[in-house]
Amino acid sequence: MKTSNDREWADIRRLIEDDKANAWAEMAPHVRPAAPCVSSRRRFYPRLAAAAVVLLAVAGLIFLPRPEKDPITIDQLPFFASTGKPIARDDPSPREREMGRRLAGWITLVNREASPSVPTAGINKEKDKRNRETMLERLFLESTQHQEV
Amino acid sequence: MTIQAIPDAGIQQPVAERDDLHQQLLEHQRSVFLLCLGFTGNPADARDMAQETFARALARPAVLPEEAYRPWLLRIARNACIDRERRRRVRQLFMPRLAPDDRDQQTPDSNLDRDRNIARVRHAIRSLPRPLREVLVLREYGELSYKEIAAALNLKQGTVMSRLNRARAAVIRIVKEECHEDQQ
Repeated sequence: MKTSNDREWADIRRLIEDDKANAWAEMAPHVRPAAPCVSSRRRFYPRLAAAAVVLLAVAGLIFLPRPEKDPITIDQLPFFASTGKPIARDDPSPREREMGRRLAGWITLVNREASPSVPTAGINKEKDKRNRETMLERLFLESTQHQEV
Repeated sequence: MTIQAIPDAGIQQPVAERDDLHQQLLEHQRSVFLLCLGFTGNPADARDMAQETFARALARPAVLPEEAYRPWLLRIARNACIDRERRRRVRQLFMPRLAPDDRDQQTPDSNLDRDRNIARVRHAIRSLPRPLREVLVLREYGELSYKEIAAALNLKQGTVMSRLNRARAAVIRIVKEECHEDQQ
């Protein structure tokens, strides 16, 4: 035997069922019939990959070290007669070696004469200066004559 | 007595199985939407909550036997609706003018008797204390069995039945009172 509460609840339950039916009828057209095509985070992106490759290529062109060019020789310069030797030579010629030896000897001589260890008291400085100039002149002339010969 | 929200814990699934999961979840759209309707009291909010439910489910998919998907989804829906209710309550504290939600009573068809009665029932269900309301909503809107409700809420089956009886009696009383007020 049904109580009045049961009858009242049956009425309310009918209202709830109507409510559910109405709400779902409104919502049903907006509901997806199938799962959307969801893109996975692990998917391969061809455009992104292509862009990355292009960027890497450009970076390589810009930043990679380039091979050094051959050093320039005197042959490649148009205003000098060709000697067949590069500009930067390490071995001096015998003449240059001789000139260097002379110059070294001359510098030693000059230094020895100007040395403070030599007693200078009583020496005419003016005369010394003249002698030194004469000697430098003579040495210079000798080396010049040697070159000309 | 308060009932704690059940965590929607799940196990991460490989990508290949995810599409199957999507399809399985979509089969329960109606149940999820209706449960949310029971909790929120209006279709627009129910739709939002259903969306959130599926978002949560897909974010942390669980490896379950097929028959367990529906209770699992409905549990997520219930938790989502409870969270929404908490947020709304906090908002009501700070912005009391914006909080009242009577959209279901302002529908264009509210002059019709049937719609008015439906609105009364919705209002009555929303007026129930949460322990009674969630049992009633899970039963009437979620269409879960007593056993499933007991499992979802971590209660004894007898407790579920007694709460359901109290909830029904309270809804009848509130609807009667509203009808009486309207007649006056």
